[in-house]
Amino acid sequence: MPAPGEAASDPPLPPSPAEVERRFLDAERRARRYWYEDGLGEIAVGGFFVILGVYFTTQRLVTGRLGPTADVLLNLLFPVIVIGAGLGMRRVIGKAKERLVYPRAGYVAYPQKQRVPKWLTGMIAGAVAGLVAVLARSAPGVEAWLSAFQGFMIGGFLWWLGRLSGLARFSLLGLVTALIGVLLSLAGGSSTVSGALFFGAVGLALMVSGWTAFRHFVRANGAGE
Amino acid sequence: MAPAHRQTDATSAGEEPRELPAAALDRLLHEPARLVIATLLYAVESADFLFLLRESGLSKGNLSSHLAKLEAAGHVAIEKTFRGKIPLTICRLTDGGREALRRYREQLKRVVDTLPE
Repeated sequence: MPAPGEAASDPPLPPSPAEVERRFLDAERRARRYWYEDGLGEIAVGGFFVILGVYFTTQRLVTGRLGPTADVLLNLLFPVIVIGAGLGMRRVIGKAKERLVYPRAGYVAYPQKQRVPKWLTGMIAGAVAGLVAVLARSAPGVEAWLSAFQGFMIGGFLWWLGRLSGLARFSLLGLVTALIGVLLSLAGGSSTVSGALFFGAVGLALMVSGWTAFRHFVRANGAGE
Repeated sequence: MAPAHRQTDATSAGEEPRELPAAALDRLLHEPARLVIATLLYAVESADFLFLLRESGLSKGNLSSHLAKLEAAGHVAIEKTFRGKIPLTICRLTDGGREALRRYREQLKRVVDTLPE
């Protein structure tokens, strides 16, 4: 992209077949990267993780102290947070992009077919959660490695996202996430405390990374049309 | 869009004229700037003018002119709309445009296959 004030010109390219193939792959990658480039997604997911961290901390502090009603309400709050985030996050990110990103760098709509069906995502998440619960019950030692497991799962996803989008910061975040999980498992402690620390730390890392990316994006793309 | 003219290769009299792969290339898409625009649109459902301007590195005038040619050929559909008070030009590759681009890609591969080692 030419710098502001710099004359734009046709890119010099005699399209050889290899060049055309490279350009196809590059265009696909650039389109995918555009969704993640501004950092708003990281800020939103990071915020969700921080809320989870606060939830686990509250659960640790409150459970058994304010009576059974408070415990039940606190347990009911968890699915509300998760489902609420699942339903609302993409909408919130979309609205934020409409205000902050599209006027600066343009609007893009993505093909719906690229998205994984929600029922499949739900089934995979349920199966993984069930497997972890069964393992934690059948072998108490497994619970100590829950944070490491979460770290590798989420870190692996972030690393894959980095490869897919070509944004190196996601690969770095993936490594940091896995490292946080392993360190928390090695440190020991209850799963609630580890969970609170894990989601709090990873959430903050995502928010810092997202905010840095967003500031860079705004600086690079100006005030918008 | 059909090429302006097609080269043929008849080795001897009486043989059916054989079309050279390079001659079959879609000349509209073979133009570098239009190929950039088409490949960008191929990867998305639709995109606005500003996105294409940013990603292609073309000037506004160049981009407008190439989009107009792609639209005239039926490869790209352009919709002018508003978001609030801001005008928005949404572009998307038509089904025909997608097919033309896919065909162009295959034709180009065939051209390479026919080249001598």
